[in-house]
Order: sequence, then structure tokens, then C-alpha cells
Amino acid sequence: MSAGRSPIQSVAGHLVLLVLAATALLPLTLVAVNSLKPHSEVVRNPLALPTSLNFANYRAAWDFGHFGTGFTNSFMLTGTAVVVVLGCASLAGYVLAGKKIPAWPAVMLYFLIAVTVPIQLFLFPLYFAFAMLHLLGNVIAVGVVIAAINMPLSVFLMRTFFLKVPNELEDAALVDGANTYHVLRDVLLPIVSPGLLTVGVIVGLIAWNEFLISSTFLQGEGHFTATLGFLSMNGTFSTNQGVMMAGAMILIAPVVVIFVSVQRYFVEGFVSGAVKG
Amino acid sequence: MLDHGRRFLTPLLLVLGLLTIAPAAVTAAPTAASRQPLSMWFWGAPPDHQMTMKRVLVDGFNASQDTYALQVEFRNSVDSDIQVALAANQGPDIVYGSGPAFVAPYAASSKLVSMDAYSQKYGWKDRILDPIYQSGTVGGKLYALPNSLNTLGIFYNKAVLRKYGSDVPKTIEDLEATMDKVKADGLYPSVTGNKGWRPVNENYASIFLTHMAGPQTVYGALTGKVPWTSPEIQAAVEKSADWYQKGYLGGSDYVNLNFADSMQLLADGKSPFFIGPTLAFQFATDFFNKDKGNVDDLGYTSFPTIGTGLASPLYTLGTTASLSINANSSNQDGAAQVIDYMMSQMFLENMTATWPGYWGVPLKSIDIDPSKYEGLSREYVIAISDMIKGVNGGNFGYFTATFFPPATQQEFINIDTVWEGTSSASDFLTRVDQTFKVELEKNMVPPIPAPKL
Amino acid sequence: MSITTELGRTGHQPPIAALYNRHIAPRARGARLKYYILVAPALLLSLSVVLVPAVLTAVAAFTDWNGVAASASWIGLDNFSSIFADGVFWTALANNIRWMVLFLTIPMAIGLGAAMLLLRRPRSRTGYQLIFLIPYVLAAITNALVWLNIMYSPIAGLVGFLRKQGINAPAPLANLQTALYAVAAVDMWHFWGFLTVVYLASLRQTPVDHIEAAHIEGASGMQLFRYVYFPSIRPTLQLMFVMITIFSFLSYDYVKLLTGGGPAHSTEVLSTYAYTFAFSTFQFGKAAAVGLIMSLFGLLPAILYTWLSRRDLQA
Repeated sequence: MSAGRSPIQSVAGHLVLLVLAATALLPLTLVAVNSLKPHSEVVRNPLALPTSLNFANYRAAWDFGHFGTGFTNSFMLTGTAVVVVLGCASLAGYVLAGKKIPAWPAVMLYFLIAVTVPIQLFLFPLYFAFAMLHLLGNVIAVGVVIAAINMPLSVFLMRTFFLKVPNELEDAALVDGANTYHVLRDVLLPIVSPGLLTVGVIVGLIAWNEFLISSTFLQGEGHFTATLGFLSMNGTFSTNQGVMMAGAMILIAPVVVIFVSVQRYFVEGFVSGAVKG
Repeated sequence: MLDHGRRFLTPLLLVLGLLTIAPAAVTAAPTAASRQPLSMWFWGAPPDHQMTMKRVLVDGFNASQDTYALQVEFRNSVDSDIQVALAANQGPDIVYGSGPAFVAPYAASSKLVSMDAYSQKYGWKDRILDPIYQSGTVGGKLYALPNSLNTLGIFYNKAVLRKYGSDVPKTIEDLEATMDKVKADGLYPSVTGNKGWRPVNENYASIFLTHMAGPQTVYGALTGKVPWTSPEIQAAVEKSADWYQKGYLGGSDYVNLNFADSMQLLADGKSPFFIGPTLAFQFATDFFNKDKGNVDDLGYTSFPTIGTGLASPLYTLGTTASLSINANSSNQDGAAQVIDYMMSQMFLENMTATWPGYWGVPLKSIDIDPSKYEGLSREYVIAISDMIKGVNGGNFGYFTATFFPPATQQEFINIDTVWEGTSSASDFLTRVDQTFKVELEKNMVPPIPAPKL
Repeated sequence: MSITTELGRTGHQPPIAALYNRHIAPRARGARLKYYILVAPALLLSLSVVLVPAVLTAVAAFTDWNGVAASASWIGLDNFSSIFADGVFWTALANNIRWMVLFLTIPMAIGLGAAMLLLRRPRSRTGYQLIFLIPYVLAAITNALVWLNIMYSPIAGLVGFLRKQGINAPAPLANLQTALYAVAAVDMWHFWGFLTVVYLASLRQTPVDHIEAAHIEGASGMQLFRYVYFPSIRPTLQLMFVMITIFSFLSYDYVKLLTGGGPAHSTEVLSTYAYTFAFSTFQFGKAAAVGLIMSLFGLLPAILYTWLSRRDLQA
């Protein structure tokens, strides 16, 4: 794939990427550096290096952010949201991409409208329903709500991945005697697995960092997610910035690990005929 | 290579496994032996404050009796969480709210319990400062108890004042003269700002309303007898804009500083003054403390009265928060007991020892020996004692965040439109007046205590 | 890779026969039912969680509900007329439109550019994607703390550093003219990595044989992009275009955390405007009215754009 690209273009490309990487990494470095300093030092000079390697902030953040139970709840919430979204959106994306039902434009229009609804304003009726169903504090239920809110984007994204699959593939499988279930499971889903991964990663990230819905519906500190625990250390007027920076590092650690580990499942551009290694 | 089906199976099984234990995790909340649970929601707080709360409030209360077990939840968005919860008849047993103005709608919708019976049982009426007690009533019944005094004044750095040969300012002229002097030398006339929390503007609206428009005028406006467009109020608003534009409020960095930054700059001698609320004592401890050896550098004094027609000294009366009982609580008696525990001198003392600035319980009389305290806690205790004396004497003005009805209070947060010159003071006050009239009709104005007339 | 194995397993027949079969086979109603069933979970879940509460909230826009009481009265269009008479509403609306223009250009361009560059770097691309996603992964409050206190701070942060060197750098958040752009810059910085990941995933699905064919015909980089990659990712580009338009009218977090709508309403957006009504002034009816307007403004350009490119969407 490197044929046709001059060395100059290659170097220029690398430079651009490095500059972009620097802009993305600089704030993270600042967070990391400041997580090792006490609060007053952070306020005085956030750009200075720490005078000593002190992990007290991390211990305080872990304890007061309740990250132990927080991570368990976060994993349950995020896991639920991802599984539900992938399950529903892949099926819906398949149907809409293939225009399998005559009502497909109406369904797409509905999902488009659903995206425009501002979340913070439909909390009240939803909360009422939750209270009546005794679901307050239920992390799984909140995961389902988050999945529902992110359904339109996921459906549309999955649809774009299904659009790339040529009809011949599906038809070939159908002709061979497979029913729709097998077609989906054995042929189509593996092909759109990059789409599943991408949507899974996106919804996972959104669910992990979510605080508006979680804060409203989760009660009892044993049910707080890691994000809520992290935010509980942030006062309106008073914040310990050193501890907050440490908490931020703790909060993103699992995300980084998972993101890197799912990358190897990412299947390269599919082949419609030729054999490729 | 494994085929795709099996590859997705493992994570899927993992999630399913988690889902099966989820119900157990969700419902299993260890309950303390046979005690009945009481819940309270509080703002987010940094670790040391959480520790103090736990030690003094939670452990202290739980140890003082054996019927109830109190639990405090720290929430970043407690105000909106409570509103949503109360609207659906849920929420914590003890409702920690933002002040009297927020109580009226909840009380009117029967979301809060009338605490008159508890007040009689525990003797709150005799214990709490009258104006504060009155402000928590709706239609004559007590629905909220403001739990901590907050007033506005001047924090000053003694070392900086010494360096410039200035005394602690007693008059507005002294204050402005000192600020001009240090400004010429490149210092901030005073440090303060609303970075990250725009409602800080309320402090600088309130301070001029109290010390320039005067308690009587503002009382008249708040009771609907005087329009908000009166000349005294307009002059006060214009004075605040004048100060902002001269750089007396944080130089040109008002939007880029918060209270923590300001205290750091004050401690570093970049300014002689921090003009602001006594709750700023909370931040001072990070920058003025024994380790840094500058504890004695910080002083606090009240803000001077402007003009000759008003009494002196005056105190802007405000509270940081209020305590109420949820009408849907199944442990209302327990909630009342907690509130009683928090409205005591002992609570004031124990909290203030490590967390000065936020727990000035509004007691009619506090018998505290400042010399029992060290450093900033001592200064805070003196400030609160002085304020209580002033309030008992009727020399107080009104903090917008405490006594103004919600939409009017929000309008005063927008006072920065006058400061930045995008609105004139008279247009601004016309808007305030219209907003206030609507709220007055809807009975959303809390009871306003009368000052000495 | 295993895809060819799948192909080998499922069919030896030439595709043409399959196409022919599909076009003449009768469409049985029973066959279509299963597709309704497949789309049902997504639809039903969304309807129950989003639509029903949204409709209730929309109804509230025509009442004077204060967000707490158990009842409210119908007031027709009063909320709307008072909102339209409020100058702050128009300021907020203008800010949302500026926001939309900013987001439709800058992050889209950077995201696509970065994705194209990463396409040809299979070994480093995981690392780069991870780095680009860091701002998106960090919680909004963390990013806000960093930018407020470290980057934009004229006392201690980068701006302060420049000032100490004698460069009179302006404080971006203090100036009424620049504040909105300063806030938007933080949100854009946090967002473009997400676009890169989406575009890259889509680009990697471009059929390999198309690319090979273009190479064989000697296509240059620009031609390759224009005739091979771009058509392949066009649906994704269009999707993100529509999504960004809608999101621009819902933007909230970074404005709230960085400036709260100030100074003097210069960064006020419709969502902060609505939030104040909902949670600070007990005027939920007005908040719901603003919410309806937000949805409408997000929806109109989205529908227009979708309709204009419907022929492309059929592809």
C-alpha cells in the first residue's frame, strides 16, 4: 500500500499526525503530572513538575471516589448498554440498509427525530416511571436507558456498514438454502464486525462517562458508577485538584486497556472475490 | 483463527454472568443491624471535607443515639437531583437545599413536612436567629432551617498592607485609596472571580445593595412597596459596574479566577484584598496555614457602609444552605433529630475546627471563646460572632441567593451585563422589576425579615 | 482470512443466478414479517424510553408547570411568546448556529484528514487512534478543569506563561467576542478524535479490489480519494454531517462547565438557557418550550439535507 506515495508526502503525513497527537496528549500529560502534586501546588503552578513522586492523591481518590464498587457498577452499566445496543442496532441496521420493509423511510425519520430530543428535559417523566417500577438505583436499567438514547446513532452507523455489503453475498447465502438467521450469524455479522466494534466502542465510551442519567436515577452510594464517584469529589466551590487529576487517571485506565485489546478483533476491508492474506 | 461466533461468545458470557449477579449486587446494601436508615444528599466535596462530614456528622450522630443510622451521599448535581426526585415523591429523608427561596415551591406542592411540631419539641425558635428562622417559613409554618450563616466582607493580607503603609480599611474611601495605590504598583486591587461558577456574581450584587442602597430600600423592594428601579438601587448597581470596570474586582481577570485561585494570589501577596463571602474561609486554609507559616497574615473585616445615610456596620445576611424534611420520608422523626443535631453550637465548633467557613450555625447566641481556635478557624469564629451581634441588632441587608425569589435571583446573576456594558443599569433593573412582580403575585417570595427601621 | 472461508462454505454458484432469483421471486408477506421482528427491539426500546417522555415534555411546553407541583394549567403559546421576546434567546440561538458552522467544518476536516493518514499506516494506527481518543475518553469535567485552570488561565496556565514572557496574550474566556470560540475550541478538541475513529472504520471497509484496480490504472492519491474512498464513505460522511447538525443544537456540557453561559450571556446556548428555566427558576414549562425549539432547529437542517441527498441514500 505504500506504492504511489512519495517520501515527502510520507514525512509530511507523519508530521501532521505527530502534531495532532501532541495536542491530544498534552492535556493528558498535564493531568498525569498534576495528579502527583498536592492541591495548593496545582493551583499555584499547574505547569510545574512535581517536587516528589507522591501517590497520596491516588489513594485518596480511590477511597473517596469509591472506585471499587464504582468500577463494578460502571462495567455492568456499560456492558448492558453495549450489549443491548449492538443486539438491537445490528438487526435494525440490516433491515434498514436492505430496505426490507416498506416503512423504512418512516423508521429512519423517527430515529432522526429521536436524536434531536434534549435529554435533560425528558428526565422527569422517565424518573416517575422508574420510581413506580422500583427501578431507582438499578444499574442495569440505567444501562438500558442509555442504550435507548444512543440507539438512533448506532442504528444509522450500523446501516452504513451494512450498506457496503454487496447484495450478492446475501443472495448467494439465501440461494444456498440458509434462512435469515444463518445469513445474519454466519455471513453478514462477521462482515460488519468492524461496525459492531466501532459502535460498541463509541457507545461504551458514552456510557462509561455518562453522568446526567446516572446521577438522576442511581441512588445509594453502593450503586454509583465510577464516574459518579469521581464527580462526588468535585464541590461547587471547593475541589481538590490534585485528587481530581488522580481520579481522572484512574477513571480512564480501564477504558484505555479495553480499547487497545479490542483493536485486534478489527477485521480489515473485506474481500469480494480475491484471496488476500 | 477462531471463527467470529466463538470470539464474541466469551465477552458475551462474561456480560451475561455479570447480569446474573447484578440483581444481587443491586439490592444488597448492607444495613446496620436493626437501625432505621436515614439519608441525606450533599454537594460534591473533596476528600478532607468528606472525612470531616463523616467524622462529625455521620459518626457523631450515629453514636449519639441508637435508633437511626445516617448516611450521606455526595452528589455533584445535588440541586437538580433533588428537584427531579421530589417531583416524583422520592428523594432523601433530609433535604439539603439551596436556601429559603427554593423552599416555597416545594412547600406549596406538599413535598416538604411542616416542622412546627419539631420546632416546639426541640426549641428551635428560641435557639435560632430570628430573621433566619422567619426566612424558612412559608405561610407562617416552618419548612426549612437555614443551616449556616454566610456574609460578605473583606479578607486582607496584613503583610501586603504593611508593605504599602496602609491600615485595615474602615471607610470606602480608605478601601478605594489603598486599591488605587497597589494598582499603580501592578498588583490586583482585589482578587476574586467567577471562573467555573457564574453565580459568584451574586456576591457583588448583594454587597452593594446592602452597603449602598441600604437595608430599608431593599426591604421595601422585596416586599413590593418600592420598585427595583428606585434611584438608590440603581446607584448601587452602577457602583458595582464602576468597581468592575476599574478593576477593583479581580483586575481584568474576574472571569479567569475562582475563589481558590484568589486565595492563592492573596497568600502570595499579589493583592491586599479578597472581597467576598465568609464561606471563602474554606479555601483560605489551603493557602494560609501552619505549614506555610503565614496563618497570621490573614485578617477579616466587614465591608464599609457607603454614604452617610446608613447605619454602620452592616452585615449582608445570607445562608449557604437549608435543611428540610421530605414529606415522603418514612423516618421523619429521625430526620428531625439529625437536623437538631446540626443546629447546635457543638456541631458548629466541631465542624469549624477542621472546616471553617461553611458551618456557621445561625444561633442566637454563641458562647465561643475564639482563643480556643487556631488560625483561620479563629478568624471565622470572630467574623460569625460579630455578624450575629449585628443581626440581633437589626443591622442587616439581604443576600440575593438567600432571600430573593428564584427568577429574580437569576436576574441578579446577570448583573454582569451591566458590568460588561451590554445593558444599562436602568434597563437591567426594569427587567428585574418585571420578573419580581410576577413572582410576587405567585407567592414565590420568602418571608423577608425586617431590618431596624 | 476467514471471510473467504465463509464464502467458500456458503456458495459455489455464480452470483448472477442469485440476482435473477431474487428479482422474480414473489415477496411473501410472511417473509416480511420477520424483518419487522428484527427491527422491533431497537424501535420499541427507543419509543418507550425516548418518545413517550419526550411527548409528555413537549406537552409541558404549553403549560406553566414549575417542575415540582403535581399539577399545572394550560397556557397555550404564552411560553413561546415570552421566550421570543427575550433577547437572551436570540443570543443563544445565534450562538448555536455559530457552533454548528464551526463543528461542521473544523472537526470534520481534521477527523477525515487524520483518518486518511492513518489508513496507510497499519502498524501505528491503533496507537494513534488511542491517543486521538484520549480527549473523548476523559470525562468532560476533567477536560474542563484542565482547560480552565491550566490552558486558559491567565495567571498560572499557558496564557499566563505567555504573559510572563512579555507576550500580551488575551484571556480567551474573558472577552465577550472570543468566549464562545474559546469554549467551542475545547469541545472541538475533545470531539474530532471520535470522528477519526468512525471515518477510519468506514474507510477500512472500502472494497480492496476497487483500490487495487485504481492502483493498476495508475491513479494518484487525489484521484484515489475522489473516485474510490470518497464514494465508499459518503454515507458515513452524510450521517455524521446530520448528527453534528443536530448535536450542535443540543450542546451543553462544555458551555456549562467552562463559563455557565457567561460572561454576560456571550456563551449562552439554548440548552443552558433551558436548563436555567428547568432547574434554577422553577419555570419548567419554558424549559420544555426551549427544548421543542432546540429539536426543531436541529431537525430542520437535518431533514433538508437528508431529502436533498435522498438519491444518494438509495445507494
